[in-house]
Amino acid sequence: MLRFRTVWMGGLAVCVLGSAVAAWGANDDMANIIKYRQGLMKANAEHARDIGMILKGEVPFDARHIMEHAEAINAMSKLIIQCFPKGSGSAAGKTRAKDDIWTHWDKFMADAVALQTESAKLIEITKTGNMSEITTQMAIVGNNSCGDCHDDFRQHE
Amino acid sequence: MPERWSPQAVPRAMWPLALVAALIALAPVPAMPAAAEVAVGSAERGAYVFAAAGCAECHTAKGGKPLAGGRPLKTPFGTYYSPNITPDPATGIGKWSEGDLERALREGIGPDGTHFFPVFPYPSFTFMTDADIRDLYAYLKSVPPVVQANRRHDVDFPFGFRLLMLGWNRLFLKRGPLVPDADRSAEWNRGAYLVRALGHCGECHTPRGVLGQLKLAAALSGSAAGPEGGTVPNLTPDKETGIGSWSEKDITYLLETGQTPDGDDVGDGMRAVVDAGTSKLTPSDRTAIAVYLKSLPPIRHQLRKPKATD
Repeated sequence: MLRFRTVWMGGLAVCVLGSAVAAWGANDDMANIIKYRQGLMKANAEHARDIGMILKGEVPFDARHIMEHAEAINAMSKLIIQCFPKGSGSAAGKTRAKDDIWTHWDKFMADAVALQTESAKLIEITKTGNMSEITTQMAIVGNNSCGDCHDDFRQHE
Repeated sequence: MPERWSPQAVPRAMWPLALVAALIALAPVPAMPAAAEVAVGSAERGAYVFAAAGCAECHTAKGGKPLAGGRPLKTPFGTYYSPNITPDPATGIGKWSEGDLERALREGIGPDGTHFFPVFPYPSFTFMTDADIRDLYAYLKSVPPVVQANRRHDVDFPFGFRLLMLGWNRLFLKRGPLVPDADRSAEWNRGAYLVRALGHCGECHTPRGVLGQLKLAAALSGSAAGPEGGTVPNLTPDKETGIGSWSEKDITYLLETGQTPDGDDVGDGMRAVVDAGTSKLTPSDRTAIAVYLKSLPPIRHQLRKPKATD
């Protein structure tokens, strides 16, 4: 009986200590998550910028290049939701992500899914090579998908 | 020496005839030809004017019926609520004549003589051409009417007193229409018109004085007190604090897609301006805007620090 109690108490102690350590480590984890997703967002912005350079005629590349950039944005868009675990808001580090993300999670998810859908359409449209249609779809990806989410969930500068 | 016309030159017998001729000549525009010449606005062209003027953004509440008003507009003087501009006769502007709309746009005065507050950008719309006002009127008549009563403004004392606007208008309202600058190209003048009149860009991008008036000496150099709480960027071609490093294409591409040259989305209030307004313009109108903006005198006005992503 006594042995069982000791084991039980010991187990409890390990649990308490373990979760304290985990909680302490979590803040670091969250700071890393913020750093990681900022990289992901920056990558998306760079791809969007390059698409813009092509559409503006600043570089001599064509729709095939735009397609590859669109593929990259589409791939990144599938990772966004995972990059915003609860607790990765401004309390965990330097981020413009608003806490509204976790109070309006359904809207946030819908926005992330919209970016997946619209960037997939962009890939398809690049195959037509029609620059004016590509530009119109880029406006939907940039202004409506990225912009809609940033409007609600990214802090003003 | 040519003989000048004088009463003496007309034989006495011809007098009644001359009188009739004179009366016809002096009569206020004769009725018959006028009926054929009265300009009628085109709702189709009006839809374009409407988009360029961005009416839908302020006159539609979030999740509300189009143009039925009720969107809160926060200002340093309190919160104003946009009115219903659908053609419902009781709660909208269904009873307004074309002249009523013109007076509202040019002078900021409603059909019953009440003064509007300059949160309604009539100091910009005053520059609109007669033709654009006529077309806009035709378009506004064509949208579905919505029954929705206007909400009372919630503003601080004494800024709710409409009569104060009498003085404000005397001090600050420069009545239009805009006079084209003969020394500039048609493209530049079109750009000036789109930026200063229809687009009313300065309403957000020009800093305001203590009475809410636009500081025109610093026109389009950005504002620290944006309508959504943030700062509004400097649009003058200053290299460091404005958009002096942007090409004409950077500007037209932003107006079409909402994307800045660094790949970010333009965001804040401008997102809706692009979505409902500038993306709907013809490419030549977007270029005209860019040409005009590039021609502005650069003004140094630092508003925001270098930004971080995420």
